[in-house]
Amino acid sequence: MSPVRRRPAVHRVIARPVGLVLLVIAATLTITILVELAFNIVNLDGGPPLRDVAPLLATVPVATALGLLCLWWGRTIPSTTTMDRRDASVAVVAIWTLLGLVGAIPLMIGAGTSFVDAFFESVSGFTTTGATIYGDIEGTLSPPLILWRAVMHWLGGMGIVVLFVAIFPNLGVSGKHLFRSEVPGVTAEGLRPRITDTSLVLWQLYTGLTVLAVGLLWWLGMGPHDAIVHGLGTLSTGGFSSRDASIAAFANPAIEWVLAILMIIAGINFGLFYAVVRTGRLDALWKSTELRFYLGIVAVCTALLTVILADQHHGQWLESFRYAFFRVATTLTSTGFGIDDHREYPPLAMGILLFMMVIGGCAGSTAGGLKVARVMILVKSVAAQIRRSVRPAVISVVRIDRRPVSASVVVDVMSFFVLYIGLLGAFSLVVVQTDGVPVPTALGAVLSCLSNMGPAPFYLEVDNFSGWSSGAKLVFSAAMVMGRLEFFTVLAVFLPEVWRR
Amino acid sequence: MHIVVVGLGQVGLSVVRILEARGHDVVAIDRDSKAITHAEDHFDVATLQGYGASARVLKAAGCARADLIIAVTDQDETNLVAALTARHLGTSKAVARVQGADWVDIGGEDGVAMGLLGVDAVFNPRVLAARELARIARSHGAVEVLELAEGRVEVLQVEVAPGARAAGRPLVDLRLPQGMRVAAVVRAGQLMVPGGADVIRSGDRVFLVGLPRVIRDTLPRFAKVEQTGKVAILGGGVVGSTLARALEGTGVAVTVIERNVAVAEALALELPKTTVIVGDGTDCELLDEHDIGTSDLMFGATSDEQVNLMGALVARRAGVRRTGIIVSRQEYESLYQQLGIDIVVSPRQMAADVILRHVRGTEVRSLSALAGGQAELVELTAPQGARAVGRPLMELDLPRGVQICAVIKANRIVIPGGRDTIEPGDGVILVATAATHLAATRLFRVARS
Repeated sequence: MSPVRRRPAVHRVIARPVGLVLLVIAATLTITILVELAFNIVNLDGGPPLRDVAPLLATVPVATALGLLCLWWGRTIPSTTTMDRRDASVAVVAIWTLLGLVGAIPLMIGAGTSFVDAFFESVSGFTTTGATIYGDIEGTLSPPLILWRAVMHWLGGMGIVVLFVAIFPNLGVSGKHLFRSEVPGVTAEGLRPRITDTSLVLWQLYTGLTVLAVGLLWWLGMGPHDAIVHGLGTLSTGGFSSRDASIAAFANPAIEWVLAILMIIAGINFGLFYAVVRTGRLDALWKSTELRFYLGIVAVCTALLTVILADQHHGQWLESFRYAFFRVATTLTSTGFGIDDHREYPPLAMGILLFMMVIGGCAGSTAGGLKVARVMILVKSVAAQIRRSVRPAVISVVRIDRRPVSASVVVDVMSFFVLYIGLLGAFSLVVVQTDGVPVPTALGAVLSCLSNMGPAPFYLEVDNFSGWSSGAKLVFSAAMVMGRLEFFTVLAVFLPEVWRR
Repeated sequence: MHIVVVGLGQVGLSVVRILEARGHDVVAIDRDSKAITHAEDHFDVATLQGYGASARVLKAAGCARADLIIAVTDQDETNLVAALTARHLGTSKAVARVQGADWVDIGGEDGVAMGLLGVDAVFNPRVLAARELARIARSHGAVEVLELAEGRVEVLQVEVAPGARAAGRPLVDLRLPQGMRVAAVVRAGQLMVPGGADVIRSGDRVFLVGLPRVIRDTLPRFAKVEQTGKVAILGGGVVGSTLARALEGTGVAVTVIERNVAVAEALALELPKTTVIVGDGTDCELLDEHDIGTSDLMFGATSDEQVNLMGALVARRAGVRRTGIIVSRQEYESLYQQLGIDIVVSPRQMAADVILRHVRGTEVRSLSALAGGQAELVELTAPQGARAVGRPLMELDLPRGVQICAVIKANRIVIPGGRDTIEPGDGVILVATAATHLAATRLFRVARS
């Protein structure tokens, strides 16, 4: 019988996973450097002959030292200690905060960006928001920094904690709690019984699709560096581009079509892909009502935008359709690539964009927003409630995929919605106060951050976030992390009982 | 292995804990949402809420391609149906637990029925526990008796008596006979696998492994050998009645104390030589009145752990020389020993042992947890091509904490020394602490090329 022991303090319990994740970051930085050095040797795309990897190189020892410091801090904790849900949520929030800090270092060194700006950019990268403070990307950022921004997207897309759980076996139930803190989701079902296997499967699918995307883009005529940057930014639904004009810079409709389709794929539940790979049949896709609903939204919004934008394209329907489809893909999946300027859209089109930003992609995808599954549950439970108000005796059941949704899940989704709307309002009020901007501008920017979208509707003068005050940028950073981790994990850290033992 | 566990009671949870730690893919099924939440919070396994014998639920748990189903709900028939249904769906192997009085006389000598109703193994842990108690009662002083290799090798746990001849000297100086060895020593609740320089002290509990005859001969050097002439059993339920049945006619005077009149009468009708008393076994006056205090052994064998403990403590005060209890939680074993209980038997632990036999590779014949799971006693068949096979044992560099206790050849049993070798097909009995378990079993695995 083991004697009763007091649990060690939270900051010691989480030190080991946090330290290991920092070492993973150091490793990915190193890989990024190696890729850039490879470009130095084999200059495939006619870029600058010598690419300056010094900013990345300088960050490696910082990340390593921080990681080792964390490991040292947690050295007294036996590696068999399991984390509970409380520890896991603190760990995940700590990891995401440190990611923002470490990711900012190369930008500060390499582009002379101020700390707050670099932190905003880095958080925007890891949360796959894609909101930028750089007006002149090609002039300010060297190729290594552009690649680093894309790598941040890619790590954050499927989730660095999920990657950590995938590559470090024997985490046991701690791994499960970590996974759930980063991927709260509506569908809690694991793809495999063990969380390490589930994480590995997700990362394998994600990597496979990314490689496919990079290959396609290269084949269609993008330079290899641009293909990698956009491939990483697409599957993660991030949206950082290597060009100021984003995808429009390539003036290549084939690339636009492929990117749009890849973005829509990135917005689908990866669990469905796993089911397809495992069974070798496509049934799983059509059986998912969420996917049908999602594709339905794509179809309807594309049709509406095609009609609304027809005027802009002088009645060229096919042109209008191409722009509409790309815009729907980039907005619904919260990616943020662009091939035209949405500020020139008529108000109705703008409304449709806002609607899609709120909804977002499917649960279990890399997209942001409320998530289609949540929207379905919300709509169905509201309908059930309306029915109950006139026929209280009838038992109404909310179902998804013919399976009843438990009351606790409905409450969870409702709370999520309340938080989404509540935080949207609260953060907007703060930035209205700090920056004195009109309310729609503030709402648009906060919504863009909460949904991990990137470009914001109702900008002031410039089409990026450089004009906001430092205070507002920190508020936006908080909004992006909250949106990426889906609120509960972040807010739970503020509960006293998480820290009290 | 993909393993489906139906029922998250004590046995279910402890099996899930072990399987998860060993890296198996586990799907746990239970009807109760609280049990499901508990499993979700504590183990890295998939869970499913529902009726475990339903084909729909079992299908969802992946029974079509599962390697093993373990059915351990508290309903015997549910377990059997779940096991059968899973086999039907395509699961390779099924193990089911039963514990009711109607499922007492299943199985052979070891209490495990192979192939009953098409389920690979059906076992009744209460019967297993009763048989264990019967072996202890017949063993002249051991607190645990395990039989391995069809009874050709015996494992005895004994408490080293004050002033015992084996106490206070290094093991090498004891000159123990060829046919046995000291597999493990438990001191103050901590188990260690001893080397030749280690000293046994009085008050330690030692695990002796070897040929039954040799062990019996050596026993007096460790403990005071006592003839057991009179046994009192508290509770006439499945464990109590099975135990009484096993002791009936062996020359031991058995007294059963049972509360329920009907149960007591039925037992008295069945067992003519056993004295059956109706009453409360924790009642001091009753114990006095029937001279229970003069018993050599008293077993608390009701299904209530607390009653067993109280009964044993009261009996000890009344003068019973040795007491044993049936418990449901193995983790309190050392606490009970501190209170003066000599023998602690956990049907749940035995159930977990039986189940885990079916989880290992085919080469493992049996295994038993020692001292609350601090070490395991494994019986396995040495396969051709494993690292430990075909070379002298001294070349193996066994880690400290592993000891090869016996090698079972076709016609004889060798308690091996450094120069002996294990040949392919030999049975091997080894003890390994939890920390060295993996390293030990790896020695007997054929490397995949």
